[in-house]
Amino acid sequence: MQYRMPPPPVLTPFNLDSLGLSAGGLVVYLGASVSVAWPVNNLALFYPFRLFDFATAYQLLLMIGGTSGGNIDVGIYDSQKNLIVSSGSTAMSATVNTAQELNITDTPLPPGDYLLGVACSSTSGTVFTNSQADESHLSSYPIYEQASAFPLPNPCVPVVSTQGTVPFVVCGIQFRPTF
Amino acid sequence: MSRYLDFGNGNVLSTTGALNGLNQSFVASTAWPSANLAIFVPIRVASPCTVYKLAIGAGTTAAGNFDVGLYDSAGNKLVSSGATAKGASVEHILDVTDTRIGPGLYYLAMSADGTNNYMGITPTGSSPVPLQKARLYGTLEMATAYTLPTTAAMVARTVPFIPTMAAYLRPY
Repeated sequence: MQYRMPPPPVLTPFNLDSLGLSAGGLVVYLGASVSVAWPVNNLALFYPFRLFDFATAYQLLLMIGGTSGGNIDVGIYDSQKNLIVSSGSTAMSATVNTAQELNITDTPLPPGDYLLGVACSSTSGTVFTNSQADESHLSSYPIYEQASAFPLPNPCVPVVSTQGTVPFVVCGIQFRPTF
Repeated sequence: MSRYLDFGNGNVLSTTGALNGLNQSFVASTAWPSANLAIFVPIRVASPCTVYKLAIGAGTTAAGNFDVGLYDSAGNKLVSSGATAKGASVEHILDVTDTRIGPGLYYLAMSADGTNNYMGITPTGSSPVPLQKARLYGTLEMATAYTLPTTAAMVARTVPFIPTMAAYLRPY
């Protein structure tokens, strides 16, 4: 009999289902994230994750930093880079230092590989990240990006991040009704 | 039988391991946020197993009582230690009734009858950031929940403290 790991109630790039195993080994933790300006106007960032069992996405999440600015878009892509669901362009919350909850149509997802995409229209907006030097981290795990990608494109055409300091953004998917 | 990403570390599932974003260097003796509050931390199991011990860390000063347990994702209590007196700066590794569980999402749960110190982690940052991080870890809470109730109505966190707990597992 084959068993499957259930999804976490809240999945972020720091989870073992995403980049957490490699990131944690390099002391990159959600708990140590801090507020940082969005690196480039209209840049989208993509974090791979894997589901081992069926899951329903109820909300998308983005941890807003100390200053609000611009619009955001958070979404889920399948392994073919097609956009499954997203929040669409949404004003960054004026309530800073808080996880912005982006309601989406409850979306069932089968087991498989996905990308969690997040984009912001302006560097005036800040988000929580655990940013690290590219040479030490991109050699251990991939973070992807796409320029001029706000709102999130469909499909996306991601490339390995070219940022000198790689943003490990605190964004996520809520796989249960309660956040 | 295949086992995908068995997150157990030597057949022990802990909150620090399960959340993989809690830097253990931040574990400290911390006052329980409020009397009778229960805190729930999600853990995932990839294959059938038997839970036979539960563990928590007692912070400084021997006083107060706690209850540690395991819940399924629907909020049903599967097993718990029952009311247990807290020691001082010592681990409590408690025998519980052997409880078989299948693959799935569960919650390690702990409540305390006072604000005595227990080992745990408060995410970094200034309010409200630690609370937001605790929520992003998927933790939940319930007020007026000492001893741990048979059925838990878990709600969104209002305080950021995450206790360190562990479940000892052996093959089904």
